[in-house]
Amino acid sequence: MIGIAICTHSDFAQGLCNAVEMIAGPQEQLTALNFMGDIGLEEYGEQLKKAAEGFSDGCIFVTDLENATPFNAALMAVAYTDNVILSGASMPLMLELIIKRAGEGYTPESLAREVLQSHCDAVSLKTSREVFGS
Amino acid sequence: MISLIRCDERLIHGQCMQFIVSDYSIKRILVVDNATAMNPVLKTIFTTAVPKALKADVYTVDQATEEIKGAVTDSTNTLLLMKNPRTLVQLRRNVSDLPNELNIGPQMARDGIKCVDFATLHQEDVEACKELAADGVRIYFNSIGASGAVTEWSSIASKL
Repeated sequence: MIGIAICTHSDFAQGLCNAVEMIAGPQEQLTALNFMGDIGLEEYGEQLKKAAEGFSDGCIFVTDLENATPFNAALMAVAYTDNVILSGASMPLMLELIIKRAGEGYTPESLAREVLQSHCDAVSLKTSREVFGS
Repeated sequence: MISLIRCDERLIHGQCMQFIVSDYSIKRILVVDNATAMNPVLKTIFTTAVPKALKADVYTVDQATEEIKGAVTDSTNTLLLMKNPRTLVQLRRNVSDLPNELNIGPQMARDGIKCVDFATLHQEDVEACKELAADGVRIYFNSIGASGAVTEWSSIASKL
């Protein structure tokens, strides 16, 4: 099973992990690495690298924000590997990853590409007017 | 021209990209950090993880001298970015006409000296700031550009 490492600013990573498990139940090969700002990019990158090495079939890093420090650290960890980074961490993204990774034949890249496409449709806007009328 | 000289332990990252680059209309980032410049993976991360309209390069202190001299006189809005104030002390020995201002952003020295919420400085960096201030540099703490609070070094220096 492809591993998932959530890496975000502050404890959003752990919170997202908790929320995912509330809906999908306890998960294997899922880990949260909060970036609390008390260590540097290089040290955090090393933590991410270690987390990925603990997974048997590769890793998708899920980060909150492209080009931010957790993302840059994840780039460090994916350098010269087949692991990949998905940015824009959210519940729809996580749940789809969790459901789809149970299927056969995915690589971290093919799984991430598939989830990325459908993820764009998961962001929506609702107004009271549309739902309840004016 | 050098539009901003900034110390940020994390160099180029989300906050820096989104706010500072737009506040100062930055078109080029010169990163000066020996360890980053000599690590091919880190160097690639920082030179590629910027918006396409922006150019970023990473140099050692020695390599940076000529680049900075060029940036001082040309018309491209440039962010001169380094991890800590010690690097600016070194750079000012090599480049004489740098702007006399330093913005200190996130610093997270363990066992360091807390100056503001987002900046805890190594003792060596406090010394470097004192040296810079004595040399006429206005030092101020600001994390995320124009929308964030500014704390002047001169207002806290006597307490450190």
